[in-house]
Amino acid sequence: MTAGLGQAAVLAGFLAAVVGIVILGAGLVLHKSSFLSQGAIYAGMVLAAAIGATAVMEHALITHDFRLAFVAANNSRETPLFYSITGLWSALAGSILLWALILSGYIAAMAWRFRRRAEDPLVGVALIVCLVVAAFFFALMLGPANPFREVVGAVPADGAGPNALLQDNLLVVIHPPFLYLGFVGFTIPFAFAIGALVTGRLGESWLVDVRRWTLFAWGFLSVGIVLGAWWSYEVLGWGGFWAWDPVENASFLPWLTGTAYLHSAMAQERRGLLRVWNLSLLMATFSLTILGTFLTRSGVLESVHSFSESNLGPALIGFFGAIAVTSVGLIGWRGDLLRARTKVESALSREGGFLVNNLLFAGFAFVVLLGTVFPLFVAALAGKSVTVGRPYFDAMTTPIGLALLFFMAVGPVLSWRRTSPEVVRSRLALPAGAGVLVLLGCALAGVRGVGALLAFGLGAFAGATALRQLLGSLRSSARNGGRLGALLGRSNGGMIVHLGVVVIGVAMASAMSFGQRSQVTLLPGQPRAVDGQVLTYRGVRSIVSPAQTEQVALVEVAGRGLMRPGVSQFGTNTQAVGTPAISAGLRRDVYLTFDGPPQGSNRGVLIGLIVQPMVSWLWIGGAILALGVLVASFPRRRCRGGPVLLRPSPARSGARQPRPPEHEGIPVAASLSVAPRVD
Amino acid sequence: MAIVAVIGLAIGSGVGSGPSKPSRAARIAHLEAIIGCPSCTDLSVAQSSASTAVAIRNYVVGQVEAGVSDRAIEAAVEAGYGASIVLSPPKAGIDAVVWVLPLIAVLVGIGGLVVVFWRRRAPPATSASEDDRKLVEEVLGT
Repeated sequence: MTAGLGQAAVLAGFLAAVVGIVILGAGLVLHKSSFLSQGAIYAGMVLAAAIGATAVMEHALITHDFRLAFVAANNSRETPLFYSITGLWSALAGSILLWALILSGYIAAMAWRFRRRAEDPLVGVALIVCLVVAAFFFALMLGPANPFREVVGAVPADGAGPNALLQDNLLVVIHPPFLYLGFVGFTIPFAFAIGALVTGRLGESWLVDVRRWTLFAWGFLSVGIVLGAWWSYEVLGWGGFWAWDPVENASFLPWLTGTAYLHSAMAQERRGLLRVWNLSLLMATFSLTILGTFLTRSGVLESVHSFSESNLGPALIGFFGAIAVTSVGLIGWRGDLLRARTKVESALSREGGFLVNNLLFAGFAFVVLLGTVFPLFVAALAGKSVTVGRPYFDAMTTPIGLALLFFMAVGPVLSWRRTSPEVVRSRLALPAGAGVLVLLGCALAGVRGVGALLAFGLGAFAGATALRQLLGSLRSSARNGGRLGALLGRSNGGMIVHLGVVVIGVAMASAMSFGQRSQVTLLPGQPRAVDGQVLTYRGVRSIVSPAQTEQVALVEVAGRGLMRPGVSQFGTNTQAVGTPAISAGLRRDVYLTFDGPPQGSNRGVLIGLIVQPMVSWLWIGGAILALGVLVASFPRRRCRGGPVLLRPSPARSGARQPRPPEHEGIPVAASLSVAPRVD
Repeated sequence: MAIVAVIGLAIGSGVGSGPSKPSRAARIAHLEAIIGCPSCTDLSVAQSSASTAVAIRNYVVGQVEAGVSDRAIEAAVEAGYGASIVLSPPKAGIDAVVWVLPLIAVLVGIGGLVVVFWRRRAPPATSASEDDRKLVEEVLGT
């Protein structure tokens, strides 16, 4: 019954998507606006089907319905309600269902948002593209990733329970959904990009249509990545947060291309530049989400974040290939319409800065992609095994990261079209001074390592530039009666995001350069000083509940109190995993792992000690970044009575006008010769 | 400011503070960072407290103190666990591709930038029409 209901819901979603594609396609071909206006109905049906299928699965998980193979493999009678609910995304088939649910939600939201333009062919094509993607994911659930498959043979009395690592920390509740909201969210801008190519409306209006959708997807993905790093730090017991694991890389790749797009889209909105590049970045971002899913869910690469293997490989790589071929083909077909009619006039200009920034992001993505897939190529071509790990990624990406910090400092002070060197010098004098002072101060304070010093100095440089821009906005707001609305908008939000990235960058440089790791044997009651910490072992304790059996070591850390690193076994799952104890602080974290139980006549225990400086700032940086995304997503209210400005007009889209970045309004008389085109 | 930054970097890099030959501790840290933990995923022996990782760490310390070269230690570990135990791909043979391709990409990128910024010297593709000029005059009230 449960399986039948679930499969019926999935089939209904698939059929609704396919019928929607046919009706909308017919509307476009036959120019029938009545057909096009039905798009929202099919989007709603797809969403209803996805909600239905998810509800059936959640009910099965909560009621421990082990007739479903997915529930039997990822749930047990001992699994707490909380982790029963999150069990949906603890393995592949449920993750695909979550993907379909989120995608359906995005499609319905898009259909509602553009309901007054439902008869617009661009919106029609975009909706078709979204429904094609939805049909693909529903089809996966009808075939190789069927979450409603029943167990073969007798129904087990109890299930295996979720992977132990997935019931040890609350971050597992929000990290995957955030990541999926980011991944899946890029479907909307991708669909509009295809819509613009198909309809030939390749001006700037479609960029404005998808600006906020892209920003939200990027924000969710960014926060999802930070939460994933936090989960890794809290759960995996190695004291780190980023290991260049294939799953981590798969999430980072679309973030890199998406970040590049967020910058370069401004160059197109303002100057009509980089049209092919922007389309390519969106196509790449979306296709990388599919490629990443293939790399990490097909079993071709091993990952600590991958909790299942599957036979989805051919379907996913086929879909990726179809996206890539279609995208390249459409861009080639529309080549004539995509030619920019303006040029970058000066290297010292905002668009010049974006160009360099985009090359750095593209280079970063290239290195990460190459390093991730290289072992597959070597295995296929040379038949041998090679590992591309952290030493490679650190060596190749550190210079790019530092260069990005530098351009993050310089870019915001550049004006559109051209900026005189004198102006750049005067705008950068204070931020550069702050960067140099921080670098020198750190060196004199005993910080060693060129990479870390550069990260601190450039971080201060970039942070000071962002603060300078924000203070300019605050002053401007104060002059205009202190209206809070003047603090909103893309420019200010972007600077807050920059601050968040700087905080994350500096925290990463600190933790990766100056973290200390030791393993010590502690004897009962005997204090021992290690890496600046004084540890005293007070005994072990066993904690038994139906959901968890844990053996913890009681270790008193001077100034931090009693810490309880342990080893746990969850429910019926026989896998024992370490459950580290973390005492977080703004200056440093103390991280203990229980590496060996009491042994020998003296009953000593083996404790792992990791002292990580500034690691808490990673999560704080993530919160600052999220705040920046929120600020950027609200349009800034401009004061009345200012100079008359001429801006690109998305008149045909009917959307809100894009706001030129702060301090960059071009007086009418000066801008007429470069008046941006309107579709 | 640039001079002050260079001085700061010189202090931070330890210029003039001793011989340039890496210390034993630096060699051990480097080797532990590039040798993978055999029983973990993605982690170096430096990052893992698994018993196999601890054993390899002890082996590395012993070999460095015995005066064995880095390359010989890597080779010995590879002989025991296979080539994929080393987390950094070799810089020879087909593996060198992963190091060289990004450098080529950097050169191509720099070349592209030079071309783009060079093109700015070309005459503007658009020019003001008579209507544009009238619009300017209207706005300026001239």
